Amino acid sequence: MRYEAFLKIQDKVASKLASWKGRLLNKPGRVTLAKVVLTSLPAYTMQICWYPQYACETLDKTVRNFIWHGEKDRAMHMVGWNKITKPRKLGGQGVRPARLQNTTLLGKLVWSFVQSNKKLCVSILAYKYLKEGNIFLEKAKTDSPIWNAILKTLDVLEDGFAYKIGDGDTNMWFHPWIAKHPHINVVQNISPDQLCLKIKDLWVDGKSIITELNLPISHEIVTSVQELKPTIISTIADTWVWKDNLNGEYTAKSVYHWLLSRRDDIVSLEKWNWIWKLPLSASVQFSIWQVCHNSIPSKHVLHHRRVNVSATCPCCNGEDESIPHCIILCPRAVAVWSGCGFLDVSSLCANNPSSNMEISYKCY
Amino acid sequence: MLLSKIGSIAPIMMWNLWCTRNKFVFDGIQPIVSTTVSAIYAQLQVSQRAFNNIISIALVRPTHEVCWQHGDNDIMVLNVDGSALTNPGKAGYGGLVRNFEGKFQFVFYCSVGLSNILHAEIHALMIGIKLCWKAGYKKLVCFSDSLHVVQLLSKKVSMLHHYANLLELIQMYLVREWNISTHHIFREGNSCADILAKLGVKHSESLVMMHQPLSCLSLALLADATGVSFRT
Repeated sequence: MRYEAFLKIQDKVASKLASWKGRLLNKPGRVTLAKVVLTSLPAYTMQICWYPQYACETLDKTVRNFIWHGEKDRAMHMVGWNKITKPRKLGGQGVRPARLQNTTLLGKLVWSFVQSNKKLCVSILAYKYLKEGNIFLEKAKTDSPIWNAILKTLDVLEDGFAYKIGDGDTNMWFHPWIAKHPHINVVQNISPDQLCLKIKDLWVDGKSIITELNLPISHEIVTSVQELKPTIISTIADTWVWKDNLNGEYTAKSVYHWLLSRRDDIVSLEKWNWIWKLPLSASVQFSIWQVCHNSIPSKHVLHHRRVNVSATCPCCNGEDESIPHCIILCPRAVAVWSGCGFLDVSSLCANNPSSNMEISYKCY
Repeated sequence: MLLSKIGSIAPIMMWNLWCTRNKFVFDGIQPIVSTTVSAIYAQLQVSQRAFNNIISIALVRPTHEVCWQHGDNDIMVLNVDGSALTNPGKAGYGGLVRNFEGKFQFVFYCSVGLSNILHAEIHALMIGIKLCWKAGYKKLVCFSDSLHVVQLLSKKVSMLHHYANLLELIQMYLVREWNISTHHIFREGNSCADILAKLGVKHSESLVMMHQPLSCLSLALLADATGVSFRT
């Protein structure tokens, strides 16, 4: 589908923005509003259309402009989009990027095909386009934008699905159960009785016998089969499940987190939850969050971002106004700290304000 | 109360310092230390009044007296537990069977390799029940400290669940011809199984079953048999 088809959604988002008094809200308020309303406006169309990359980017841009500008024309985006879109416990604000949201929601359609659901739309599409009999084997592009969207989504989500072995009554050669493609396409010289092998025949009393069978398959497949260790039981059929959710169901929440965790900048080592647990108003929490990202607009930070200002502190005219200097070390700040009973404040700041603030928060 | 009071003052101070600095830079208002300090304390009081109820509600938790549970006469008691070092990570399980007086029957423990805690807990219950069936007990009561597992077993298993096979296997044992029930118990009443599960994590993936009590269990066994209870 072409980009023009999505202009309507963008107009809708823009008209919502125009009627809100963005400047009457503070930043955490705007983040919440953007999260709840802006990113959920396109939710219906996202369940059946694969948004063009440009449409996704425009939507994301509208959201982040609203968060940082409100109604003004221009303002500095103090914390990057990649950081804002992280979950709150990993140092973001939990804003959902359009591309991931789109993939997640379309995945629900993929899931009904994976499960061979009995829904009418699934039967119609399957009758018309499901030529190979299994969705994982479909590769061909068609004239249907919905079917193309499904295949594109499957391409992204493929690794998240796993074939759960129940009774093991599936042929091991013709089903894409472990490598997402049937082994029969990549092997040669299979004897007729090997061709009848079912998945359950690879285990005897819970022990893998795949090496004894001398099957003509690659070493990687053998290892991944040996790692499975299924308990084969005759009352449950083999089925596809969503790997990342222990109860096997496809839920938008679990898929979204799975997609996020595959982004390489997600590191769960830093602790951020303490900010959101502080018994303080959201605006204070937000500014502490900004301090921990080293991005409140002090003179030093502005200078670093090539704004045409000098980096010296406007209060003491001595040192550069870095963030620790501005809120802790400046003589004016030290006076306030000692006024509140903190006599030794130099321990509060060091290179990494985030971890130090957490430590000092815990100490007190 | 003291902790939350002092803990939230530092962020408020930083916020106020930043505000006064902005007032100075943009409006030219000279910062006065005493005004800032009093503003900080005023804001602290406001937020305390706003959040006080929430904190005190969160802190109040019901307390229980917990001890090892035993059933009626001539019943066997199975305690199982799973343990995982990290999630996901190395996991193992263990369990033991005693009679209603606390007389020791046998222990078992084993590792499940790289897995998660739910897998270990389910595996523990499955192996425990299987061993008891083999031993020919007619009356059995099982205790697991995982409420999740007990809840999963109480209803029909969804075939999509990752451990549907194991759960189904347990349910098949539950409907056999013997007197058996599964219950949840708090961790403190399950201390022997807890020790065994931690042994299981370090062990290899072959099941160990022993009919003599281990020396590391003696204290916990004695505590259970005499009916020591813990307050959680």
